[in-house]
Amino acid sequence: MNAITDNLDVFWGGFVKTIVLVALSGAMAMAAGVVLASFAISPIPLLQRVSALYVAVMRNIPAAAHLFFTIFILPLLGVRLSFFALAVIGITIYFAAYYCDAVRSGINAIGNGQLEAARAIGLKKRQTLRLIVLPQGMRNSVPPLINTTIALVKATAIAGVFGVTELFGAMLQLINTNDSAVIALMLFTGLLYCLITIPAGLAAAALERKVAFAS
Amino acid sequence: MFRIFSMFRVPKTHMLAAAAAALVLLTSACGGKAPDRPNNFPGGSTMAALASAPKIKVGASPNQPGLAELNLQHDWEGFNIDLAVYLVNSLGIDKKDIEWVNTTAANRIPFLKQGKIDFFATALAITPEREKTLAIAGPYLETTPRLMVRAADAERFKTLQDIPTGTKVCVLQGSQGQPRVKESIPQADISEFNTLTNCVRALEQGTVDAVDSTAPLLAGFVEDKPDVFALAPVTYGKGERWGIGMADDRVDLCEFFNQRLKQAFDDGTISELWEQHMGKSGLEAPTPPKEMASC
Repeated sequence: MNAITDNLDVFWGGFVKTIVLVALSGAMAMAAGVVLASFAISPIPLLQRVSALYVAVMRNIPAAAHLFFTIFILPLLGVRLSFFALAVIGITIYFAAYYCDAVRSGINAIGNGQLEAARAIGLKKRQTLRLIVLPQGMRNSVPPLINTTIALVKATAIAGVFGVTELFGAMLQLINTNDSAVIALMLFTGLLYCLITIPAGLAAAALERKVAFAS
Repeated sequence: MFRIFSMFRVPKTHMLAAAAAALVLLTSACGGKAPDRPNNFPGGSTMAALASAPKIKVGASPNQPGLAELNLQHDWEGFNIDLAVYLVNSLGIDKKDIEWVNTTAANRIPFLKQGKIDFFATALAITPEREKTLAIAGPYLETTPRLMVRAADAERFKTLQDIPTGTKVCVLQGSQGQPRVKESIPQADISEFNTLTNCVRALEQGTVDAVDSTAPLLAGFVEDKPDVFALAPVTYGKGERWGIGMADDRVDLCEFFNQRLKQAFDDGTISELWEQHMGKSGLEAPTPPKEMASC
């Protein structure tokens, strides 16, 4: 128990870093995912193919491989950023593919009648996207979006072995110096991760209820 | 379940016969015959149990040039590997009955506790914290912590005060690196990686400025690329004593290995193995410790 109370500062540092990692990569990946989803439903074949190719390739490369690439290959190509920034890039690139599919599933759930009505009242494709498709599509996608975000929170743990001392890395550091308290340290770390994911799930449920409507 | 088989139009009886044959083959492969080796150890001791098991599981971390690495034929080689083979031979077990388990610094202690490995053969520093949860035989080597830097920077790292604030130092996760750099070089910005090779890679690419580890581990990397890397003159922290780790209920095995290690020093095996693998590193061969750590 002392291992936890004596090292709350280390846990706090890791916790904050995880939150910032999640916030930055989550926001960027979601934005990129929405853009990619728009490409996927676009009438321009090139954009459709770009989106499909991106999702197919990035989704099938493990997150750890993405992080290895950004942490070790990008610097080789001349990119000079901190390990934290490189980790954010790696996680963003990976999860953009998942967010794209989450948004696309939400868009596909929109009734056909909506698109027909939009065409009937003379809206252009871009207006339809901005006023009809994306608002309704995002409302429908709240459950898969929150699933993807929780997966992202867990994937940030991989950065812990690549030079970013976030929560998982902090746990490994403390286990190394307090091996006799390993179970307590692991349980506490699990608790801290739950402190991030459970409120996120509850917020998503509340959001879902708020934006739900009979379609 | 048999409906799946009927898709292939194979009669049920044939599938049952094939399943039975597979089961027989599997059990005979997994069980293994009792090995044919002399076992003069006291009954019930760990040594007796290991000598009568078909394989002995030895944990080792690769990518330690000269000490433990995997060559192109995927065989282990190095000073620590040969020392482990020496200890295994002393149990009457042959080298080919060793099952080498690739273990990182972060999971070696869990693996020992769970019985996934019988002992850990590569660099393991003896610390009071570890002695609480493991039995460690040895030490067989005393080392000093050093920093490895890019060759051009070697002159800038002469003393601890020379090291500028914010210097990025890379340490191995699961080693004594983080505690000692935090204490001796508080102005450094520490990054932890899961393998030393990743740290070395980051140093080469310029994303970190120095790699902390102990002299024997770093000497191998410097020897591989002497125009890229160099050992900085600065010394800091307490030296490490390396031992052979095993689960803490294996005290008899620990004491047995202590005696074998003493013998290895006496008959010159240790010097010989060191010369063979680390001769060109410039580091002296290990000398017998003043006292063995208590199991």
